[in-house]
Amino acid sequence: MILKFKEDAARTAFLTKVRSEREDIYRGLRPARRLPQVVATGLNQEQIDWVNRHVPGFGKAYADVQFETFEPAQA
Amino acid sequence: MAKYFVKMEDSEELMHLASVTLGSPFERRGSSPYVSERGVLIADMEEDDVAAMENSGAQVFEDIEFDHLSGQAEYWEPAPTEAAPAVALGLPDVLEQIRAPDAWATTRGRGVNIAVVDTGICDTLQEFPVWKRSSLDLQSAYAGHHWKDSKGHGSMCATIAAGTAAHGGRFNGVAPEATVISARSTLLASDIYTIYDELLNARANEVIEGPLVISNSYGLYTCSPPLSLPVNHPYLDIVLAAIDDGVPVVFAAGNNHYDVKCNHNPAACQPNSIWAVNSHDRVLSVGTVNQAETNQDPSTPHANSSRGPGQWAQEYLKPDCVAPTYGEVVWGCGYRVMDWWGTSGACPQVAGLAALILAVNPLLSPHEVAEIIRNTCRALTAAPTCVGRGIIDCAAAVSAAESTP
Repeated sequence: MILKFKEDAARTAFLTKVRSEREDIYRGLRPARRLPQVVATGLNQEQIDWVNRHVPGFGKAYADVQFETFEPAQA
Repeated sequence: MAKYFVKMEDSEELMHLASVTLGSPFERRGSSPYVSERGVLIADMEEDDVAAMENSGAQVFEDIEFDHLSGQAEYWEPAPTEAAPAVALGLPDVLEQIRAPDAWATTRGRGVNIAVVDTGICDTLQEFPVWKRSSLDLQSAYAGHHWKDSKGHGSMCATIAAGTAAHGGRFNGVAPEATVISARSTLLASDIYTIYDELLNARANEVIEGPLVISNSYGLYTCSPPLSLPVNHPYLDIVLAAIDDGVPVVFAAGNNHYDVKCNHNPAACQPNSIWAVNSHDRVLSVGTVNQAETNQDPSTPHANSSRGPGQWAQEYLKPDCVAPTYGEVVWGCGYRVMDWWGTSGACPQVAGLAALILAVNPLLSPHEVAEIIRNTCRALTAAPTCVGRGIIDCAAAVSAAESTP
């Protein structure tokens, strides 16, 4: 999943909360360098549910999307 | 009218003769007149065309229809080891069709980086000698393993964009001297996001020197608007951030139209089947055509090339342009002959062309690069929602880039 925040301050506040309450989830979060967003990887369903419950008020979570190659073998 | 093979010692002279005799350049006459890289013209011609060719010093050969060799060999019986290998069409012929070799007189893409976001690149391919490989190791899902390709697809795309035949490889790509960044991905939006973020960071820190182009031959197989990818998804944000940063971003249009996925009428240029980011105004979206430069013929899989106008497009109808795909190309660590390469094989041709353009004019914005590519396409007769502005023309695009202030 990818988390989106309006500004850096909101992202920082949320990361601080996660770090203090769920160190296990915090380890799977990678703050983006370019935008006030966070990429979450390697989380199990319980951890994803926790993030979805707690991110409102700070930002918004977007589900991951699996893309596929547009390859000739599928024809 | 019958089919003939025409040979001349000087392939440039043959090209000129073909243009003068059959129409300028490669104007259709029944089927496609075509000069292969090996300097052989194959065309349907009238008797007066044949006479004109012969009077100009060309050798003209009638086509031959062979019988099926059943049971007993009637004509010859060569030992298996003496059989000449079949000469397949392939990437060199495609590059001639988009006039890449003509552009190489001006530039071969040196100094420009092409990031190929895909399934990786086989590290033993001679098309990618060490000097072509960026040392950048993107800290994404495949950190430390970007130069592996367990599927084959990424190696194909990278070769089409920027392979080189200068060091034992079989094929040149469109920009044979460009530097390649292998961005092997799980193709999850989160991993692609990380790759883009890493690329932008590397640019900001000047770890990537020179212009950057990003090639993306993936997307969604769907026949209706994908609910999983709203227009405010952060995946779009990071793609647009790259474009804001001066990076042309090229996407495959998709393979959705005909029997791969949606079973729409192959002759029709609607309904839309280019979705989400692949259809955004600010990216270049690329479809594919067959050797005869159509994607409306159900006898070739190119009829699957996704149709516009594009789910998110507002100003620029999608696809923006098309490129031909057919014949032999790299797949994984080897070579494969295929009827088509999907729109996956068309996208990296345009990424390579963007690299050629930036090599001659590195200050051009992504919008200017896109405009040059669109405006120099060779127009086709099909509707824009099938073929965009037409088939890309590398020589014309590079020439336009040189004259753009």
